[in-house]
Amino acid sequence: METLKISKIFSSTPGPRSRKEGSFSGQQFREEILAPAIKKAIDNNEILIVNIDGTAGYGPSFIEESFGGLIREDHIPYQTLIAHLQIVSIEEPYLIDDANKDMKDAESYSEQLV
Amino acid sequence: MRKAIASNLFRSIVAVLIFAFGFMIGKYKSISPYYFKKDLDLIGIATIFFNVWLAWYISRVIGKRNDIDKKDKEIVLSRLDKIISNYELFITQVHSNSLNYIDVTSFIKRNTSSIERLCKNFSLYHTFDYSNEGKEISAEMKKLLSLMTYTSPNPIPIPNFQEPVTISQNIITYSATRIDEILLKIDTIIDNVIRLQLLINSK
Repeated sequence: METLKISKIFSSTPGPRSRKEGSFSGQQFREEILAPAIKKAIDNNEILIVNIDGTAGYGPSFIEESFGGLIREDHIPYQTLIAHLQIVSIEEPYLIDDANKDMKDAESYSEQLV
Repeated sequence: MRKAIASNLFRSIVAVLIFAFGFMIGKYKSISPYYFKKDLDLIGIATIFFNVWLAWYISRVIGKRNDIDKKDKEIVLSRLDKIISNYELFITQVHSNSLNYIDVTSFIKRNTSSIERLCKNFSLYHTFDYSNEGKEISAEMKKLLSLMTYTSPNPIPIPNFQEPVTISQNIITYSATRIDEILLKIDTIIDNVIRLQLLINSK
């Protein structure tokens, strides 16, 4: 069971959605850290814990791009993702609900495209 | 100073009036159907002393509680003042239409956590629960965060259409309509904080 603390492993000042918008973006976090880690957890049948506390604050786009992007861009099925991903937060627990909603919405969006 | 002198004068007058009232009552042997017993036994004296002590003790406890409540209110109201002035200052930054992304997210996180913590902690020590009011205000702050930072994952390029939020190198710029929406939301937040101040003040 691996734990990723975003403030330590990535940045204490997470940025906007995409690389073209600025530094420490959600896209950068997903592509460089989150997607490889979740794929590894799925392969090993483990749970990846993502701790989102300790940062200066997140924009909703960062959260959507990081977690929703796993479904939209990395094509990980929603059910597989929620079975292997656990998001934890004491400071901003509502962000866990936001991330879950983003993943569900991304799944609906992907289904519409198919 | 003048208020303290007036208060002391009032107390002295009340004390003199009570003394005069007692003196006049003492002149009477009876006021039908009651009569005054001039001799006092040991238990009577002990009862008088105990009652006086009890009255003094209760008034002291209530007075102390009132002092603590007053001080708590002052602290919370000044913290809420600080949140209002933070947002008023923030309005001038929004008008500049060139905000740093991290400044926006950290500003809103700080103030959201602050209001939630303040209401939760204040409610712990007081009979009225302010946590719902705190949650309502922080929900408005989160809506403001979305208005100020959310960009679409799949922007569709439309000719002559300006995206409400554009971010480049962590600097955000807004369309004129979005600035109006942001200012309106900030006004709502400030109004809600003032309403909370009035609520706390009235309890």
